[in-house]
Amino acid sequence: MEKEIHFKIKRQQGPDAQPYWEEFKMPYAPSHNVVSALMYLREHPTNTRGEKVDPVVWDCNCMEEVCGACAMIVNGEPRQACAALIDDLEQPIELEPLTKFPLVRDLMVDRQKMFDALQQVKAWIKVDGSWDIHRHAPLVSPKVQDIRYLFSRCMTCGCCMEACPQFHEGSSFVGPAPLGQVLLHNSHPAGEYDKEERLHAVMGDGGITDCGNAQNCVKVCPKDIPLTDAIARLGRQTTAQWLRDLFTN
Amino acid sequence: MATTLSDAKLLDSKYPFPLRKLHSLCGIVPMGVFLCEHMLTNSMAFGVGGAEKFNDSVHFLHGLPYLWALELFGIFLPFAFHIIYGIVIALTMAPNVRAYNYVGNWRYFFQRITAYFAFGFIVIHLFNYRFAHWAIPEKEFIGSLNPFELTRDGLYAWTPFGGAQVAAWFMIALYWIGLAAVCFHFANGIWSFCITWGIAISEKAQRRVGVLAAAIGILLFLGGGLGLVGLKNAETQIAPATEEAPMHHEEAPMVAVLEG
Ligand code: SF4
Ligand code: SF4
Repeated sequence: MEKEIHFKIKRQQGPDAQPYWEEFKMPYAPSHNVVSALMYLREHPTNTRGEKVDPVVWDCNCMEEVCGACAMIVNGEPRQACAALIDDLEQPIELEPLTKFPLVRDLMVDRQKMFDALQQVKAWIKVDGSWDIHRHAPLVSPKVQDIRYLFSRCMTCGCCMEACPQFHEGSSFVGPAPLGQVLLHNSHPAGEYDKEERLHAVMGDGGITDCGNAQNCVKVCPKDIPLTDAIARLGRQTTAQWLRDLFTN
Repeated sequence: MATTLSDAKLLDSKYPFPLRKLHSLCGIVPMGVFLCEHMLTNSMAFGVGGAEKFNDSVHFLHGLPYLWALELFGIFLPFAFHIIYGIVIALTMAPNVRAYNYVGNWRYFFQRITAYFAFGFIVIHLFNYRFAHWAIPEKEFIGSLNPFELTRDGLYAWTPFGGAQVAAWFMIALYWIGLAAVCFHFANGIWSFCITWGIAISEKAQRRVGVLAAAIGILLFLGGGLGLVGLKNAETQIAPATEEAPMHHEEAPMVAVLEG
């Protein structure tokens, strides 16, 4: 018997359309991942009932788990489709779009919320000003570099947000990933200048206090980013900032 | 209630940080401290001479100076704030324990479920004891002559719906589950307090704090449990103090069942 790859895909023609499940089968080939399999299906968009249908829509870019675009729910788990190897997956492979972001079509969602959140928490470093910030490149100890490296790997994929029970349409929570980025930028020698602004941003509406310590984010992050560590560290930084605001400033 | 909640929501979006800090602090001091004291007193009801020790402890507490202020600012106002604001917080949950079946996620979920349960339990508990003499004039104030008997009465001879047997079972189950819910909520509250205030940072540190918090929770549960068992045992040790003999009707239906 010829081996097959069997997909069950949750499809939706548009943001307001009704979702439905559709099954596809394709010939097996070694070393397929979900994205490469979806590419095959795009060329052969025939479902298991033999109907020729619109090709499945999904988002993808880098193919090496660094851009975050292909995040979707694979067999119940939010992850990057490019890094989901067919040989490792139980069949039929169920694909669903992320549920916490506005749906565009089929498996494609609009993750704009994440980029808005990064702006809200000021997750950037001002490099140009009218003053000379550093005479030399700032020194960072290897230990701090190691920690910063962990957080620098965030690809804004949204898996952590998908799993977070505090992040949803009805809440203003910025979610775990942006909090990790605040910690990253606060620990940069030049980023430190704006630490207070960033802390004030996450002490406002939708900030760190919306975290309920369910700690799902750290379990699902494809990049193993220590998000709960970041949230606890920010807990300390914001508590200290609050006391400074109350008694010093 | 609805306007209180929407007011609280508005305040929450304006001053989330100090309010959340106050909310979690409130759960530890004074509420947690009060809980520890309460369970300590309850545990005294257990064993020989339990009734006397329990009564002495209650009388000592009711003899504290400025008791009304202690109760108002140390118990009732913090409780009201913690509960009302807690509901605002709990309402922001979109539970997903089935999709993400992790221990942490269940803990987070139960923190909110136990909160609702504990809220209901505490309200019943307060009207059962602390305010019983307000609602029912012939009831005595819990702090009066024999608190032990009054407590035992309130727990094991409580008959709101007529059937003594059913009511007693309901009450006892309610107290055991209520006790467990409160202890879990407090222990998990200590743990998350340590995280949100930035006391425990690393995964290891969070685990250490978790073990300590669990130990405190279990200890409190044991303390409260000793109290419940002590009160229960006393019904066979001590003859009912009044002619009303509140435990009478507990036996009647039982016999009827056996005979019928
Ligand atoms: S395909 Fe993907 S694109 Fe793709 S995200 Fe992978 S991480 Fe990047
Ligand atoms: S923290 Fe991890 S899960 Fe969250 S967006 Fe970044 S890479 Fe994705």
